Amino acid sequence: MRKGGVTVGILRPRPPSSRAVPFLVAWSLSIASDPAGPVDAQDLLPSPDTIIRLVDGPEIFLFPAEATGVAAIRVFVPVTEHPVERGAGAVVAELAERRMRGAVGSTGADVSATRSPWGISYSVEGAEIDLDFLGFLIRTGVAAPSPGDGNLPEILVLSREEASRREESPEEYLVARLLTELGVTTASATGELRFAGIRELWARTHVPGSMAVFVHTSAEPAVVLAALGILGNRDPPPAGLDDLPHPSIAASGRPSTIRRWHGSVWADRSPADPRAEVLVRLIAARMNSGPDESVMAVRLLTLADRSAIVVTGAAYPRGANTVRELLRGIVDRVRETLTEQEVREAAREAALERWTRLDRPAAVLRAITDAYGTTGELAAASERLRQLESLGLAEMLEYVETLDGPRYADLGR
Amino acid sequence: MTTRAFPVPAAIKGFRGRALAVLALALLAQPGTAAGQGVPRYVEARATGAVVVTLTVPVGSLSGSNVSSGTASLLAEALVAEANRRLAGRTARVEASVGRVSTRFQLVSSPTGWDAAWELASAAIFSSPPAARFEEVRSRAVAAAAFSDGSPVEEFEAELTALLTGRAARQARAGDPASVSFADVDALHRSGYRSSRALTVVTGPGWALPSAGLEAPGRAEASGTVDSAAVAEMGANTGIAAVGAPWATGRRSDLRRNVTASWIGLAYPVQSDVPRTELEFAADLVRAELMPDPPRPSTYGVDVAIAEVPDGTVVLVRAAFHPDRAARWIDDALATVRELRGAPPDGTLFLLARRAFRARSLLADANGSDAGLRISDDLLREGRVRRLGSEISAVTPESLARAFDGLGEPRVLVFGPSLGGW
Repeated sequence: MRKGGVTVGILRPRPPSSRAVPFLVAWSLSIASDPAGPVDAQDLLPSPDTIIRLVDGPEIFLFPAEATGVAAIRVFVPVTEHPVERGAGAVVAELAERRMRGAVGSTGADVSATRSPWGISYSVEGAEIDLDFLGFLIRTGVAAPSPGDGNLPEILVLSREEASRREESPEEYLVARLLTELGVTTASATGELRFAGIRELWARTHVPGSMAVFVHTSAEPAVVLAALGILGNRDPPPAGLDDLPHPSIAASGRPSTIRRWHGSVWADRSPADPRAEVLVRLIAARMNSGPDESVMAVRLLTLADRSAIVVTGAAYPRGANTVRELLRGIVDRVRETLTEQEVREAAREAALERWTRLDRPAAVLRAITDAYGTTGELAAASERLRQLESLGLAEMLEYVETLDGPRYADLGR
Repeated sequence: MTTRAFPVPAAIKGFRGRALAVLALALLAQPGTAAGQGVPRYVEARATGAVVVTLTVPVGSLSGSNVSSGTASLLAEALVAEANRRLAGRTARVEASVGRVSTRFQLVSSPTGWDAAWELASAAIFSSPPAARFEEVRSRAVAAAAFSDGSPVEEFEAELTALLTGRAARQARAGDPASVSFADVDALHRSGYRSSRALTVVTGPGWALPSAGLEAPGRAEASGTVDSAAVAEMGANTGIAAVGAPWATGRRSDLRRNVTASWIGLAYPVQSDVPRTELEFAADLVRAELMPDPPRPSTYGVDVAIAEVPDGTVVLVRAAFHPDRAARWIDDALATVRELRGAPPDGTLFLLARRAFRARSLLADANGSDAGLRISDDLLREGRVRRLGSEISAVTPESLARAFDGLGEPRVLVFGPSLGGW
């Protein structure tokens, strides 16, 4: 295991053609911080004990590992799509995950590549003794898509089918309408995507200097660097697509329905505010009083710059007005009936659910990375958990008061 | 750190006696072993978010005279309900699973305040359940039984348990929860839920655990309060450290039922001297052969597990198939295990298989909940906690072959419509 406090090092990268193992040069700076020291609020989740900043390369955070023989690597790449590319990031992730799964072989490692509103995260987790191969798997994921891998036509067909399914669903149609009210477009451009465009998005975004690499291991930094090798696109990235005009998106048809559908949406100011997930629980607890044969649902959507709380419901005409009024006023109802005890219990449930999901090193890295992608802060995941554990009525009421909304959408006769 | 001498019950001899003696010694001497309210406790860090406390008590569905009456399950559910009632407002929750020979409670908690939460939960578990909690869980169980009573799955499981234990199927079938009284569960609690006969394992992030206290003064003295003889007795009661194999001769049982699927159970008895790591590797190879990815056509489900029964350990295969496929699958499965026993992998194939097994085992063990169960089993069975990475790396083709040799003749249960020609 690595010793000492947080170490920040600057690494000069090798030329792309070189096969030499990267080496630590220039200088290193030790900052007084003992990982085994007293626990404060920021230590609910691990903090890196070594940070390596590569010249023109990714920032690498090494997290201390318990002696369990497991290592995990996660690479976060910020990805912003131009409207003509919408959906291409998800395709890049799907292609990458298929490549990684095909390369796992006898290592038995777990691999994934996932698209979030902020970027793409690549993850591998396996035996620490196989660290070099785990590095190969992560390079395989972050590598450029090629026409021959992952069956791109199949992925595009599946993606279009999924878009069609959403357009045919009354609930999804309402959600899309409500997000449009918030200025968020959900329409996918996968119908227009071609390999060249997908490759260009990858080349523009997978630039080493913009990546962040999170590694859970007890291996020494030099070993980690050797295992990671060179990630992403080392060629000059193509120019952005800012000058391209935005495509006109044809409005999708309204799905036919038997019942009347209603929806409302509220938005907050930050995707990292933990009170959104508590509010969703509080709303769900008040959805059990609708008319007969009605359905209601609440969902939390994480957008790039905020969270959206969407409620939808349907009823036959005789109960439709009741459902509509119930949904439109449900946040007011929460505010009027909320108690300190209810807030505390809902917040503890939300916290416990989060804690339970952090069941392996890769899951802990995922929480840290996702929060980092949202806020740019390494301690954001810890802070979110700490806030959930101490949340009370006053903070919850303050949150409800500052929500933007509601905005409405309806569907059906 | 100091260790203490302790008495070993005279009745515990041979391999089992040695294992239990080692267990008791280990519980006193292991770093991280201490006592809380008289319960031996083992602590090990994991890179997870939550802290998981795993409590094992030697009361299962086949324990003593409570054979499958449902008493053990109702008792555990009532205790869980009471524990969670006491935990209201805390970031912690208790669940339980009742096995054939033991009951496991697991507390999942925020790493801050987990010890206070466990104090509340364990106090509830080691107290007689309130009658109100018992009535609540029994009402739910009666309602659930109305749906499951007479289902093919339930009958198959009862027949499988009968096959594994030699008991009559009617004994192995889950009892009517309405017939279980509060006096029944209270009596079972008084006889089986003694803190001195339980084992606690704590896993979670290192900073939240009392690892800093491992070598602190007073730690060994606390260990001295462990009733080690009773812990050894607990190991004996669970059957995990049993001697020999559960049975010597195999047999087949073919139960014809007019249902639309075939359920199959294959159980291989394991000699008690087969090292656990090698046995898990062997089971992993059987699993890889019988559970290909993607699955074979007409497969409803296949599962391979190592299971404890009152007289020892078995490798248990459960499968459900379309009836047309079942007869051939049984032949294939028996042949697959026979071939693995005759010619286990060696050379490069062995190295690749061991590498994959090591990764799968370590990944599973990185989960605090799974690790708690595994560590509990290790302590009860061998009196030590295995270091999985190094132990798997030490497995050789020869030791793997010996593990396959330690598998006896299987008992086979086929449950479903006529298989035609089998």
